Amino acid sequence: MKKALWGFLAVLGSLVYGDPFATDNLFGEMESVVVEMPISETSLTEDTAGVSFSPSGSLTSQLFHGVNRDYFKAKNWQDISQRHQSVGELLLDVRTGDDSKAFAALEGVYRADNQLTSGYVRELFVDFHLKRRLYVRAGKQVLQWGRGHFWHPSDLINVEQKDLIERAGAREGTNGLRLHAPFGAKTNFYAFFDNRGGDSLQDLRSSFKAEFILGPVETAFSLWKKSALHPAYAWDASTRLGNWDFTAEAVFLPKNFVKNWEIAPQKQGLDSLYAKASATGAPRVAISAGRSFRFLEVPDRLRLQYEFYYNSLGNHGKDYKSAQIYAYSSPTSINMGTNQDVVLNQGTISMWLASQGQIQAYSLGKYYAAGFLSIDKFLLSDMTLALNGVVNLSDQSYVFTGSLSYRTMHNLSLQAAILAFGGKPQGEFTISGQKIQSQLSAGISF
Amino acid sequence: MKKLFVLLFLMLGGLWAQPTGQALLQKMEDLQKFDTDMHSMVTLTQQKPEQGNKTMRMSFYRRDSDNSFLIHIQSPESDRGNGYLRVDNHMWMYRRNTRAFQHINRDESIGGTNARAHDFETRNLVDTYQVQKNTDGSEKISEEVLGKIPVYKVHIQAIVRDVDYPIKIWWIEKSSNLLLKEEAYSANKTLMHSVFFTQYTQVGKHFMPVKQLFIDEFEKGNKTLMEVKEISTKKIPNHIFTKAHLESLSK
Repeated sequence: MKKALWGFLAVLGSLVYGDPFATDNLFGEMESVVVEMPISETSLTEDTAGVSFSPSGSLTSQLFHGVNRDYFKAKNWQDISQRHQSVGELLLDVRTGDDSKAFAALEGVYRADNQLTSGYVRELFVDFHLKRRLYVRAGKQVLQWGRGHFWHPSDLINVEQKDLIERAGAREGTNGLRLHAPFGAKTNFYAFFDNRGGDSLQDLRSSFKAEFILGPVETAFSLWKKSALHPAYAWDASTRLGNWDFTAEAVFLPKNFVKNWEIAPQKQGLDSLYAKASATGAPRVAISAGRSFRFLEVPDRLRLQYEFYYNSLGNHGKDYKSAQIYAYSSPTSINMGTNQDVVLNQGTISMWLASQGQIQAYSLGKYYAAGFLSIDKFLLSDMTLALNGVVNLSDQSYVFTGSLSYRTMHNLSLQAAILAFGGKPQGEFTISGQKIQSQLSAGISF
Repeated sequence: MKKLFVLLFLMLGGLWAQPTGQALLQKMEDLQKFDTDMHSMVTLTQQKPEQGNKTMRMSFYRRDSDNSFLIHIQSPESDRGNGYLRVDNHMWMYRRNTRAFQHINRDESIGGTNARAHDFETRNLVDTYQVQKNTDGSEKISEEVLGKIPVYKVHIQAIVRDVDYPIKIWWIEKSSNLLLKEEAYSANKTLMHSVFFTQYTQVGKHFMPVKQLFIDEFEKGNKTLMEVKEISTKKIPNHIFTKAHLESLSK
């Protein structure tokens, strides 16, 4: 009876209001499908007319569990860590009538384990253009150069390395001034003047990039320069051959770009460790290939991506593993995860490298290989299965991830992910002692 | 003798009345090419079972002279700023959350709906498809009536690999050569989607679909309604078809 009533109401509703999705008798009484519409020859609806203010954002609640390697020996619950956090992101976009824009990306994180709330300004910039010939963005901004899938060696500006599981919230920006001069869609010139972390012109880092199309290939050459250093030269390209998409990136870093170290043996006390500039330049290269496949009848449902990364500065493996304590020739500060820097006078080589910002995830070894598989419409229309893996070929350790993501049309997203770490002991992905990490998250964007 | 002439006349008339597949594809292709620039506001209303409806509004610029288009999503707020730029055979997708252009070269779904990039541009039909043949070598073209509209029912197969589906059936209005309905089949001949072109409008000598209904036949219940409004043929400034412009529109 209830069903009949709902059916009657649905039919009545469609009769009164007309169901735009009804497919029965679509061309019923039509004599022609051609309709007259007003067509303007003189005016264009502009995308950005008048002053506007539009807030948007997201809120994500995440629960992490980490299972330590020791748990599998002693089955001690203390070897399973737990952390809950909520991440809120607020994006504020203000536009003026002349197409100028002010933008802010604010982020708040509440961590339940230490009951701390942290706030971040991820982006804060002003946008304007000079007669559409030069587009200017000034302030803290996310800027990603390079076109690889996971590694972007040609990008010496971006401060946030991509991760296997996308982190919640807004991406961290870099402070500076960006200029973009487009010549159609096919040729672009960019400049970026990066002044973060410095209070004199000597600290200014300048980057320039020329990007253009050559037949089926889009390619770019770029240059990065800091006053005290020789320039770094980079190149990237992307194209399609057959059904495969290829990308390649390479950078040649100048000598002194990375701080190396030297040990001075002491007769008494700790051996001394001091910074020493690298004497030669160093290349980094990333190559990736990917294609989409028709899977269970649906085109582009399955996507496969491979990537290889060569980092000539890598292979800190042996030193990274060493527990030997050295006296630092000059004090160095390191963030121990408490949002407060700790000044160290002595420590291991790995702690010293971390304090110099040289221990970056997925960039510690010399050779890496990675594979990424995603299947859309997995079990459900809005669900995606992703299976990813990164192997540090230098120390033979690896991390594999599996995640199920569900996102509704109205931007409710749910995700369950597992990361498994393995390989030889004391490797990049095994040194932390963690064996498995799980992540459950629920979020809404608006 | 008179009857023989009449019979011969009718036979020849029948042959002349039914165009060849190649000619039909060419006429359809010519009808949708614009000799002017075109800008419009496009609304995509997506319907999914148990999720209701979602409406996405986008600004669409098209210039056929150099095979360019730009799509900029204006609403909802959570998608605003994402966009697509195409020039010649190069296509870029801009994602505001990474602030990066991806050089994609392929036929993407637009905003996660059933509409794809090729639904927004001139389709190169002659170089992409041919009419299937019957066992006797004749082309698979028959005559039908869709509602009250006389149509040709044409069985099509792709002659290149880079298409969404390799087999299609088209219902083409006889009087105008406008495509009214499409059924797309996988290589295994499973019906994957249907598209109904229920309204066209004339722009100069050419026609553009202003109301299309996409039916996902594989996942029953998923539908997308595409409506085109506020059409303008004013010349579009060059700066529109640039990465810089698309990025400036983004959040």
